Amino acid sequence: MNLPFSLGFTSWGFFAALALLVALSRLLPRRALPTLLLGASLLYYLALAPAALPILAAATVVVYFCGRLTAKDKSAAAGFGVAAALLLLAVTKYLPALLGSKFSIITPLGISYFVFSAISYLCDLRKGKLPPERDFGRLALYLFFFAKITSGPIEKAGDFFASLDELEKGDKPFENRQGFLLILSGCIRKLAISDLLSGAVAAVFDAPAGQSGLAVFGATLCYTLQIYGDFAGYTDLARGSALLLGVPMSENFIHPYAATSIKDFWRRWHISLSSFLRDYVYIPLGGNRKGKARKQLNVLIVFVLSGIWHGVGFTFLLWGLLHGLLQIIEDFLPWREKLKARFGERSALYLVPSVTVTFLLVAFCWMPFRAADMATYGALLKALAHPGSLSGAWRTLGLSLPDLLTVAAAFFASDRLKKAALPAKIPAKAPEKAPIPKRPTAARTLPMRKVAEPAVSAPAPREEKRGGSLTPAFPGCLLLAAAALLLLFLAAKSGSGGSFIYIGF
Amino acid sequence: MKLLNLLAFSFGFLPFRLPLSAVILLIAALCFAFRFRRTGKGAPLAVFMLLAAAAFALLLLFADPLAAVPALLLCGALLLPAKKGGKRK
Repeated sequence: MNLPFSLGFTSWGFFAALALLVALSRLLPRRALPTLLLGASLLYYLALAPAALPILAAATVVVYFCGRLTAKDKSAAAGFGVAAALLLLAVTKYLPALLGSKFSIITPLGISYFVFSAISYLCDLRKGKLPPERDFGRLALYLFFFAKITSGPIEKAGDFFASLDELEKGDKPFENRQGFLLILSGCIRKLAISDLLSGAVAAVFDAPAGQSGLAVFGATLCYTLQIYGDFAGYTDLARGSALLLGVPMSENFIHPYAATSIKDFWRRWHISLSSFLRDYVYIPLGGNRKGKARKQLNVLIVFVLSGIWHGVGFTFLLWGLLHGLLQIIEDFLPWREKLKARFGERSALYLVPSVTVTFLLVAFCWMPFRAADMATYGALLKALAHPGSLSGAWRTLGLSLPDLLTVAAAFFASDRLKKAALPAKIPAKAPEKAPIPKRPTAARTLPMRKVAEPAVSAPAPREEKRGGSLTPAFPGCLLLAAAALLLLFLAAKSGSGGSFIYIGF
Repeated sequence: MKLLNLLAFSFGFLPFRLPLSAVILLIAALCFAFRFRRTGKGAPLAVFMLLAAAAFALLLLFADPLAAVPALLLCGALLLPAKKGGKRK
């Protein structure tokens, strides 16, 4: 089925469909919303990858029955389900890539996220963290939910079902303001950071021969920012859309490039994947409980698996291996800890070198991740040895000063939007008893009830109103919405606005 | 003040009113600057606003919509509350 319009997260088609869905969600009773969301999610997947739908539908049935059987025989059924999910991933994602034209099968869109969600559900069942889901529709919604099927976040089944329970009961109001702000932030990150820098990255990484070292360095920095803008933008759009429909999803990024070490970086980057690998791979392998050497080995295994998960090829494997090795080296060379102990954790003398070194290491690791193959990566590394001229590198990248200003402003704007989207702090509860005025006042002569009420309750509603209201953020939001609309118009007009990087994984 | 901002960016969207939009935005930025100066708070914010507005105005005068994006983003971000949850002191 070829749609006459795009359904990408930054397309008009998607926004129109989302608006319709939001309108329907406000009209229908709360108990009907999971059904509405499941219908919308299946339609969305059908529109994007119709041929793959039967494969994932069959997998959902297997996961459902394995889940039901897990209640009776905990290890066998869950183990079978996990093995079946991994087999599906291997057959549909890795075999076609490894065997080339000898083996042809459809790779379902979002297969990695689908399989990870299924594994998370079955493993949590086996551990007894949640009861088996009796409602097939709710399980199908967990696996197919349109906001997370293509690129995550990898939600834990327990959290997702708890959100659905709250949605059905109608305990919580819809988070319209937060959802809108997150969508705005996502649009800005995708259109004003990722799409703007993609040309500069492609100019070098797609034609590595004869590039200068400075051009490669510049393109690597651009890719470092591009992939963050792209994936964090996607996540914001997904979380914002889900919030508008009453389903909160977990945060995936917390200022990853402000990390002070590689370990810290993985606490801030793709948090849902890091948590998944920690809970379902690192800890079952023994974590840090079996000695230092075993801990290092476990770290290495986890990061190699993470690399393989991202794609087939030695470039991804190398990327995972580099991250694993850097973490091990960090353990043996604790220079950051020494700086921290000497100058304090808020000192610039600790933060500036730690953050800069971590950022450069992470950027260096992105090189094989973006390179098409190992030969390209080798050519890029060779080019680094010959810096070349700054003006030549600037011309190669094809960026202008307004472009750089746009990227900087977009980072700033999205950061502010994320802060504004966070729930307002609830002011501390006023004391039960009204404070007794030191001096007698005219009011004190009135009956006590009349005096106490305003004295206790007056400040609280005002704070709540200011914290929860859209008003303080309104002018800024209006400008940012104008910028996002302008970018959307320009992207639609020029036919640019490529797909999201992580959809390929 | 808020009405002025609203007006500035309503006009800003209409390409044939670009110079007018730029002028209105500059006035709005100046008002911000004076207000912050009077209250003694947020002077750097006012300066940034002014610079951003000036850049926006200049870029808009060249009628390049893409070039107007950074100014829009910068002005918008500066107008958002810096505190979590949209609270302002």
